Order: sequence, then structure tokens, then C-alpha cells
Amino acid sequence: MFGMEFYVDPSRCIGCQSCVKACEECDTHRGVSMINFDFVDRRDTIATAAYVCWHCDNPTCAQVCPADAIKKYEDGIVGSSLKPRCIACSNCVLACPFGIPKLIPENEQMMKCDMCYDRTSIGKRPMCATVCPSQALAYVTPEAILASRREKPINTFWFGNQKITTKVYMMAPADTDAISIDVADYTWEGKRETVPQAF
Amino acid sequence: MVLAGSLQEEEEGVTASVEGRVIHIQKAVEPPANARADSEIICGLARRLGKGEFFRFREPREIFEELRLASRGGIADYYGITYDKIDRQKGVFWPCPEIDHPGTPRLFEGGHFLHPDGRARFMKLEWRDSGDPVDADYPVYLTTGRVVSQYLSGTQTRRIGALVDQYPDPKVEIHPRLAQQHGIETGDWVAVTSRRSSITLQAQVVRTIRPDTLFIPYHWPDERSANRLTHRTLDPRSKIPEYKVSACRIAKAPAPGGRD
Repeated sequence: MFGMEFYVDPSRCIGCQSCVKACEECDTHRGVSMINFDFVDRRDTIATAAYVCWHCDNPTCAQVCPADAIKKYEDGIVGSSLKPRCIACSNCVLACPFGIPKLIPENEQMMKCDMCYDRTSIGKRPMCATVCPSQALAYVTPEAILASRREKPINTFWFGNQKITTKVYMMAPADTDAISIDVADYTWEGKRETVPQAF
Repeated sequence: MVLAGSLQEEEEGVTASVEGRVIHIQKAVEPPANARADSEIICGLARRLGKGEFFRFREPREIFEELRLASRGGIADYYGITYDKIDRQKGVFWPCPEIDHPGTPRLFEGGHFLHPDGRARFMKLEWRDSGDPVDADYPVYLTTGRVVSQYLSGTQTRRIGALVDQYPDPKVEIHPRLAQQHGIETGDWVAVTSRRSSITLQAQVVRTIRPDTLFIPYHWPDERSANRLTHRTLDPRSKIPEYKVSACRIAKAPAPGGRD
């Protein structure tokens, strides 16, 4: 809708957390930020990363929800949980391969980025993208991103054998077609064995 | 005596950003309780001191009008900057000497500088040691600075809860090599002592600082004030204090009263 897409580039993040604060100011969920912000490893680096929800084409969070509280809209945006339905079971929190949904204990509800649906559905940019000074979070046209970045927008992710395609793009090195993260690569002790992939 | 002032968000007015862009800040909320706009406090003080006739401002815009005239013909010339132009152009860069001048986004374009011959000059500096040199008793450099969620002495930002939550207390950044010498780990309470004073804060062990230097952000008062440790030696030319280089030592310490 309106020809804009969302692009995330953690390598541009300067850690200012303007996105976190701008999201927190929103009247629809005041005081709770939907940005996922990390110091990657503060001991060794000042690198930081800010993420929004990736808005999966086939969202795992909605698949595992026993209360049918997470809806995907016609334009591909995956909403936050519906308050009357969410039972705060945390299934989605545990199942999301990106670690996006957050359980808000005071609200007894899962809340996550809905791409500022009140804004983007009428052609406005999400709050985080309007304040990000380095455009690590950018909401622009595909033409604009191609013209201004060396990196390539990627929206195919492999988590082990699970293939995820998303509405939001990750900026990746130009020769990349998909981003692959296998938890086995990070948990194996000693000699690594090759785990056959299903694809 | 406390004069309860206002945050930027509590008073309409203009300010110049670090790039020399004059911007208009709209009032978003009322100052709490009996706090008043900073301009009201200054004008009130002037009245109490018998100089009220020079401070007959009813709103910040009238103060800005005086600044336009006062700076006219100067280096930072605001004369051509009006509220209307600031709002229309989303900020105006000084100097802006005439009403129809668009402002100056980049100084010295075209290679014309402010020296009489129009050229720029390299300045040579004589090196001298810090006014507070490291020695056997104070072997570590201390430098001070900012964190992103607070602004200067914190008067504008330490009342904003979400910004306080982002970085609630000053931490001492220390390199793993120096930390290991003193048995310090992230979260440990440490006393940082200079020739003036000592403050006790929690350590954050990071590889992003030199092994011979500690860093403490300076936005907090009292027992958490980094400037209790710094010294008053002035730069001979600019008269700026040497807050970025002090000598100190560090050691593990018990938590200050009421903390753990």
C-alpha cells in the first residue's frame, strides 16, 4: 500500500534509541515500546541493533496462537495481539524465530510491532522510521533504497529447516540471497557435524 | 533557593542546534505544579532587581525579536531569521543577515574565511602536560562525557522517566585488562578517587575504552557527580576547564548506603 516498504540495517544503528522512545510515545500503546533493541555484545563492541516485527508472510506467532489472537491483514501486516482474545500464554513469544513478541505482564497480553497500522494504513510512515537519524530503520520506496544503498534488501530467512519470508527487508551484503541462522551452529560443543537440510 | 524552571517541551521558543540551525520548539505540555517558564523566571528576577523596564517581554517571540536586532551585523547574524521563516524552512542556519536571505547551511563555502585576508589558518599548539598529571598514587586517566539519553547537567532530561530508565545511574567504563588487575567485574561497586574527591559507582567492563583510562558520564549531581573528581585547570586560550583529562585511581568498594 502506498508503495513504501520497511528496511532494517543494523550496521547503520548508532544506538540512540530514538526509535524505542518514539514508539513508546504512541497513543495506542503509551509507555510500552514495540521496538526490539539490543546491545549486541556491550563488553566487546558498541554495536547495537534495533528491529521492528518482520511481518512474516506465514506468521509463526499466529500459527501457534491457541486463541486466534494474532491477525494478518490484507496488506501483509501482522497485528499485535487482540486484547479480548490474548490469554498471555507466551506461545508466540517462544515460537517466533526472530524473538519479536513481548509478553507485557501488567497487561496480561502479548504486544508487538504492528507497523504503526494507524499511520501506515493511511500513508504515513511508522514512528520509528520518522525519527531514526541514520535510517537503520527506513520506510521508503524500493526505488529509493536501491538508489541510496550498496546493500541488498533480503526477505528470505532460514532458521534451520524453517524457511521464512517476510514483508520487512533486512539489508544484507550484495551477494546474499537469503540469511541463514541455524541454532545448531551456535549450540554444538566440540566438533561440528553437518545436519542435513530438508531443502 | 530553588527556581523551578521548565523543560524545552514546556515552553515555546527557538534554539540553535549544534550545526547552527535555528529551530522552533513548540510547547507540548504545561510545566508541573509551580514550575514556570525559564523566560518568565529571568524577567521576574529582573523586575525584582529593579531593571524590569529592560525585560518587558510578554512571550519568547519578543525576546527573539530583540536577539535579531542585537545580533545584526555580527558573525552569528540572526536579523533575517523570523518565526515565519523558521517554520516554513524547517529551521534557518545562521548567519542570515537580511529578511530575504535563505540562511547559510554551510559556513565558508567558496573558501572565504573571516580573517582580514579571507583565508583560513592552521594554528599551532604548544603541548603541555595535564594540570592534573597521572603519577604513582593516581595512575589512571579519567575522562568524562555523555550518554545519549541525558543532556548536559540533566535539568532538561532527568525528570523524563523513560529517559531515566534508559540509563538510570552513571557507570564507570573500564577496560577488561585494568579491571582484572583490580578484580573488578561488571556490576561491582568501585570507588574512583582523584586528588579532589571520591565517588562510588558501578563498573561496566568494556573493551571499547583504552586500558589506561576510565570513563564516567557527568549528567548526575551530588554523590554521583563525575565533576567532583575533575579539576579546574583552564585552557589558556579558550578558558575551558580540563574536564576531559584527570588523574585517578580505582578500587572495589562497598555499595553506598541503601544500595546493593
